Amino acid sequence: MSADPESLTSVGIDVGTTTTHTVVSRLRVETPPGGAASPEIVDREIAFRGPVRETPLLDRETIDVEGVAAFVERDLEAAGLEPADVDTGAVIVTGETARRENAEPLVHRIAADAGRFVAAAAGAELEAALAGRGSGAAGRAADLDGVVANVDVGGGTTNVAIFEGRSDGRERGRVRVRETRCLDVGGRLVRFDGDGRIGSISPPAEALVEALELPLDVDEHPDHETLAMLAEAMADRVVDLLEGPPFDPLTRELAIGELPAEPVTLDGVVFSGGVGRLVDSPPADPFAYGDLGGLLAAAVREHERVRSWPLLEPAEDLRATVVGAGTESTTLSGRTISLEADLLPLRNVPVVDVGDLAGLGGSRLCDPLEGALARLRELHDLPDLDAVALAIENVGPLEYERLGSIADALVSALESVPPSLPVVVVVRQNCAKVLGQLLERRHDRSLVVLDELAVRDGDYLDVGTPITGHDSVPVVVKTLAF
Amino acid sequence: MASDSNPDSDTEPLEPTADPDSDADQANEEALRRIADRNPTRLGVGRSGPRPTTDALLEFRADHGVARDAVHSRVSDGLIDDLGLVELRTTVADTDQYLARPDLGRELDADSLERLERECEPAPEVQIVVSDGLSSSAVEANVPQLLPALLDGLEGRDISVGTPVFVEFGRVDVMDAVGEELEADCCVSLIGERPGLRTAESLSAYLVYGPKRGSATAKKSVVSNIHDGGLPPVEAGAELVDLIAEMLAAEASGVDLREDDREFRTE
Amino acid sequence: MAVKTTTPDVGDRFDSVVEVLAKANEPKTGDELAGIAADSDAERVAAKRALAGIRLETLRENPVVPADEDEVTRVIQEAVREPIYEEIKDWTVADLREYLVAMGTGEREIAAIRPGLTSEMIAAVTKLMSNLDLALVTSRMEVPARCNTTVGERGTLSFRLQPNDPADDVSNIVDATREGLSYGVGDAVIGVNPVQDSVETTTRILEATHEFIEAWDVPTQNCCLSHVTTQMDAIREGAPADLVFQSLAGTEAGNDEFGVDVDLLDEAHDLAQRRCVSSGPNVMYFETGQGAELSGDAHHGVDQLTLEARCYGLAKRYDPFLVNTVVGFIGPEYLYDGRQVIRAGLEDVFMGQLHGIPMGIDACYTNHMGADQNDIENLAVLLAAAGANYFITVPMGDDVMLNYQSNSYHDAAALWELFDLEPAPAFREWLAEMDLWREGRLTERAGDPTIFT
Repeated sequence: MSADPESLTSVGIDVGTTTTHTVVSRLRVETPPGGAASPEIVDREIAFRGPVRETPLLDRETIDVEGVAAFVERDLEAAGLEPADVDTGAVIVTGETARRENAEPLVHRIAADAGRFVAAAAGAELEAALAGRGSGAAGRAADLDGVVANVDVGGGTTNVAIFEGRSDGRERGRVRVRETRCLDVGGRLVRFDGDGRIGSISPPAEALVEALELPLDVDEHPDHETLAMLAEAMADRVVDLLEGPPFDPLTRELAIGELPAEPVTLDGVVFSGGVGRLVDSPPADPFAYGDLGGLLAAAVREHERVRSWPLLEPAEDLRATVVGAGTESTTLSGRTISLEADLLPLRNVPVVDVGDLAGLGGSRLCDPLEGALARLRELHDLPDLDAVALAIENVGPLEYERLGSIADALVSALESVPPSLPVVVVVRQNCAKVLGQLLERRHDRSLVVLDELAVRDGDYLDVGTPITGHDSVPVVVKTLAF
Repeated sequence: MASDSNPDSDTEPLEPTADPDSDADQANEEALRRIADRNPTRLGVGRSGPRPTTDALLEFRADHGVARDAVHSRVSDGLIDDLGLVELRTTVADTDQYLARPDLGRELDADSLERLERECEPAPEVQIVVSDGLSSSAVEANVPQLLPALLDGLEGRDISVGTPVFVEFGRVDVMDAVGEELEADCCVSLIGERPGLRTAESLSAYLVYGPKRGSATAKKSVVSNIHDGGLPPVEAGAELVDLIAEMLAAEASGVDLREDDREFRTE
Repeated sequence: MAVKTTTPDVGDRFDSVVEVLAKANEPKTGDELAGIAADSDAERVAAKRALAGIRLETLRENPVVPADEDEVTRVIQEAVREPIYEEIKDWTVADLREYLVAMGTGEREIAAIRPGLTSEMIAAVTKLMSNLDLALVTSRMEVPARCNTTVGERGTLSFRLQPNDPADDVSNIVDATREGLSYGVGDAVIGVNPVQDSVETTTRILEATHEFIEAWDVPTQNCCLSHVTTQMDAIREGAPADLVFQSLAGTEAGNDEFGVDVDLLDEAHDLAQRRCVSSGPNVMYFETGQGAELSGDAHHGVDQLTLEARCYGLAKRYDPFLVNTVVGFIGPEYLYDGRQVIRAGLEDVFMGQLHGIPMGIDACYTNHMGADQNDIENLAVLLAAAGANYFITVPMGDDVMLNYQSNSYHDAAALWELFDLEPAPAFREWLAEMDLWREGRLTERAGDPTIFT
């Protein structure tokens, strides 16, 4: 724990398609006045920014884990920190790097090395959200009291996060991600060798090349015009991603995950990421980075539609994702919670969503709980896990008798879970302590009950030890999608 | 307050009349609604001439009426019976005197002292005292949910609880008298807070280790803002269980227990 | 702490000046709670009669708390200008009342004797005056003060905009500021009571209000009403404050309860003069209220009105820009109902102005008092007629952070219209530029906070 009990030292590490960076930040924690309120992170200050380094690869498919570990070690040393000084944070593997064969062991290794409670994470949606918080787009949405999109264009992917900044849409004061939209479009999808020949074309770029029937081949000197056409086609996809639906079939082909069904009216657009930052100021030599990034940025900049967008300056561009990982990945639970402190920290706890129980009573309360646990068993080998988490969207009215019924149903459903496996119950309403008390009286399983957190099915949780003086635990809600 | 713009009139309108459906007006309406919605204060209420609109005025009076009623009404006998509370009284004669003489609300009358000895279990670890304080509505709204969570939780920790009492016209410090008489290890006072216009149903819990008449306010711990829109009463019950366990273990309360005891408010 | 007196002025029915002062008071529950009030109306009037005959010299020589025990007494005594005192010391309290209400008495005549008065003399004469006496003499006094704006000039009535938020959320504070300015209030100060008394919160509030004032070029001043030491720390670290605030009590022990003493206040005043971002010269803001000393068990057996007067005697040392009593905040055990609150409000503003301090009022009540909005609207009408410098206003009269009610933003325009008054000149011009003020009235545009977005 940091010397100052009111602040947490947080590290963010982004292992991206092209580059790897580290930031160290201080998160200041305050419990708002009023007696009933829970603590919040009120200030996020970046204390150290590591240099931008090329992500080391052993070969096209394998990340150099030792190389990345050495970078992180050097950066922490430069920041004057031992891993034991680091309270929280996240390592995220992003873009094409997330698809490398050893991406998963990489993040877990780096997370374990970097500090006492650093979460490992991967997934385009999370990446989009962190980039948008890191770039300042979420803050702009709050300032504008409106809807702002962050478009993070990197080496391998383009990730859009759309923030709902209206105060009535916030959760515990935090600007909410309304949706994310992700696409396999990035500057590094086409690389050049030292002589200006094409070194490689990644599959998503290949799909565009084929669709447009462009004469581009590996080891050939490309025609500038043809490259520009490819960059324009990519820019079209980025524009379509933001302006749709409807979406062009090519956009659908390159999309990562689901695309939304409804278009959104935006009050602002922020570009971030290694390529995104060039949209505002393209390099004089478009090939300066040895890839298509310069041309892609220029094509986006010159796009007729982009010119009509309400563009906003980012607070961070190149480092948006890592700043997001370092400053915005940690949230705090409610103040009144129920813990067995020696269970903590818990890492990589998969979440299943039980849903809304408000309309259910008696034995019918067990059905959604048992259904959720069955799904959990399908997806995971329970003995491999640290713990499992059940998220209850709504327990119904906060009445003592009602909560007793919820506790009864939980106890009955959890009979199917090995007694040695800790269970985390996450509720949205402020009732974790009383629910914990009711559960404790009913059986003696290892339990953690947390409240005032928003989690979704398929998320993972890392749960840290209580913050000094605040009776609350730091939680990283994340995904592990490789 | 829109003035009609009549093209035939000689007098110029004070303000150009805006088309009510214009984008600018709608954006303005939207902005005003957002200000009103996000603020707990009474913003965006509009005006009639220099005065508030009739709606805003009556809404204010309605909220004040609820707050006044919370101060002046008493907790119902039905609730006291349902919760199985032994009913006691302070030396205060009526509500008017209760408001003007806080000193009289800290001591039990003779009958109550006798009843305490006759009907209440002596020397418990925890003695619970419920008082209407400045809001009977707060007691009615919260104690039925809070008390079972508190009693069950204490039982789960094997902490002995005395016979819970209700003290009419009680101030916070009447728990010192009750606790001292019964020789309780610690006392919890559940008491209605001074009502505001936003809610008249906020309850506070004050706790003291080693209750003794005249003990300083700083020796008391407090959990405040207990109501549905603040700390839910069931959750408050469970929190009090933890706090009581901590007090009994440390044999202390208030500033002796935690230096930075949460924001402390006297009634 | 009874004061032994041998003076024959007191009469044989009462033992001391302190007792006469206490029993001559209009009925207040606080004096009853302290056990020092008159037992009957007959005794009250007897005490008033005795007080009427006491000479000012007796009051000077028998301060209610001895000078060697109390620094507030010393501050008051040391401020007396002796030659003027010499001229009036043989007056009785009745003579003083008659001088004040005399046909030819105006601000000039009052200013001529003001430096010879002590807080006890002012408290004493107040006890002999009826409500209309108080209103009349207050209306004769003009005590302006200048910070960035000038308040208290004849023909003006100013307002503090009080945009409190129960979570100290600065965006909400700014919203409430927008709304208040759109009603034309805020020329006295944009003054925020924080929930959290921390340097961080104080700084955040000062910065947000200062930035807003700068951005819209509002001729006013900001203030964050945390403890004076918190504000001093914030200011030393560069927080932009126009004024420095503190609550005052009328005894050394009472101020000790508030965590201040004269040395600290001197230091605060010095810092404010050097480091406040306003142009001054008046840079202090004080709040007071009858009953504070009793609630802190620091009253020395002295009645709450006399102690309130001594707060003003202390405040005067710092040439404040704003001083107001928070008259109905303390609760029914000190001021029981609307009648007692109205009386205390008239007394406090009169006493402040007679001390020569620029006096305003927070005309307010809590929900456990026998008072409602009508009572404080009555008080506002009386004190607007009497020429108080300013009132406190909150959105629709409801302060959800301090959990009490005061005047509404709306009340400003009604009071200006009733008494043909206007906001402070510079602020009025600014309102006109914003198209919120025309020909002595608010425009149609008024009341819309979105003007300032």
